Amino acid sequence: MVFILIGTSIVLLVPFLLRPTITLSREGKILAFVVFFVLPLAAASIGASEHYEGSKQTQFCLSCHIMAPWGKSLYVDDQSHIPAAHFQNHRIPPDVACYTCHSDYAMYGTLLTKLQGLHHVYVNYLGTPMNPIHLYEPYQNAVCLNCHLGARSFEGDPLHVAIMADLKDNKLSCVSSGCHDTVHNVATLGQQKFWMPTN
Amino acid sequence: MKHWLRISGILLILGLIVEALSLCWNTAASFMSFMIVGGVCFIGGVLTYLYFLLTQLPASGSPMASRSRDSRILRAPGQ
Repeated sequence: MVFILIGTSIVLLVPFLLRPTITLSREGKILAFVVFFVLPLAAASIGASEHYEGSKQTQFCLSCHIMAPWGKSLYVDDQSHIPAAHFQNHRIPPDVACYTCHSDYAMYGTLLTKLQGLHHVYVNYLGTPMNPIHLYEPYQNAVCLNCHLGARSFEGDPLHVAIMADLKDNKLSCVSSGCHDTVHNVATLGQQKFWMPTN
Repeated sequence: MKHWLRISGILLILGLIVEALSLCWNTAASFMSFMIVGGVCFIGGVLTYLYFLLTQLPASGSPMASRSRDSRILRAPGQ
């Protein structure tokens, strides 16, 4: 769709470059407005939308060389590694794995996540990435609870029930309280075995 | 003033080509090229076209402007 629009725009722009006098007539002026303003604006909007959707893809996040170890950690052959277990067992959609677990599900969360993503891209190409890479803020339980809350396996666990209030208030972290704290352990990747998908 | 139209067209075509190329890959680099190179070409092209439109407006007091004013008066209902 977007490629057809881009092609049409280019094809219609060329006659105006060769014969700008087309714009002298009333019809020419109207056509010029469509070709020089409406069509490019539509093409740019659809293109931006496609890029916006594409930026949710795991492939997009891992296209920055600096993120390669985090991508590799998704293939660790150890189910105690939380991201690996979620990714390999499709508990999260594997094609949007990073976005699923690292987006804010609150109001305007998508917008904030995208702004942070823009900042990541800016830092990667024009700035100095943090070393070591870490989250801007502690991981929010709300991201975990977005899927797990209400699930039988989660709420049937007496330990979860006992600390539910603290989990909901983010007073006790799911990933840093000694319960599920094996996350992206990129420092230990050299000592890990890796799962190889068959296809 | 025709050269403004040509400049606008060239910028827009460049922007569209950059957009088409950037959509062939789903990487941060292609996204940045779309945003920066494509964005500059698009905005430059559209603004140049709008400037071209402004230069096409008849200046107030010119014979063309007064003719268009007269025609509006002539077309006014009840005149």
